[in-house]
Amino acid sequence: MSLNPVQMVAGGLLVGIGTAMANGCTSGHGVCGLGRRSGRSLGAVLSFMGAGFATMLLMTQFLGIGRV
Amino acid sequence: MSTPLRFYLAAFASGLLFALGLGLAGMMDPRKVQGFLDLFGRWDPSLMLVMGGAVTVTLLSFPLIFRRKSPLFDEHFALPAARKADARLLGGSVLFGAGWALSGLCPGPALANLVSFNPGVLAFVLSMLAGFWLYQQTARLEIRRHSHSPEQFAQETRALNDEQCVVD
Repeated sequence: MSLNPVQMVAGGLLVGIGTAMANGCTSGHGVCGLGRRSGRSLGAVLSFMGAGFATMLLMTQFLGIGRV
Repeated sequence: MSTPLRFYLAAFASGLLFALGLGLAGMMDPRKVQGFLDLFGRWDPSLMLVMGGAVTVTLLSFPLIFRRKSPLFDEHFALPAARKADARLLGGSVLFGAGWALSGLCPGPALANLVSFNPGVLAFVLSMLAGFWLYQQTARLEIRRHSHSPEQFAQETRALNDEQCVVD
């Protein structure tokens, strides 16, 4: 599978900075945090899901960026 | 005290099981993940079952696990102490969500996907490590700017790495 290198590098940087800032990702806040009924994790999950849907919409509908 | 071997064996078994689950569920395929995030386009809702299934397991099992005084193979549970959702948490999560959509990868599946030797996945993981480092450096600079003594600097940078974890 050949993946778009610009998207992989930009995505990797954002994921690295973002998860370090937020102390967690889909595993930490999503699977474990929600399981512990942590309000902080619920806030994180709603934020990254919302941002994920919004970014995908922006990419496909307005920026003409497709899937990797 | 040195960490007993069984701790590493348990960590290895957990990682193996986690990676197998991610692979079987399709989380390691960036285009499938992007299909899940494409809510207003060609939406593929199947990955909802992955998160839903995993959270069902933790919701049911964590209360039973935390009835114990300690984990099976360690002396204490290590849990985050922070309670409040602050701007750093929400802002970081927004950046993460944007990067997740752009690349179709999040940290766990990306690391598991290294075994595919795909150059795109390798580029993602190296950039992610650079991102961790960049944030770490920025946070250290900020602490240096406001700390009044070397002791305070040392204490706050340590807290940065230990991630406000309490040993329960």
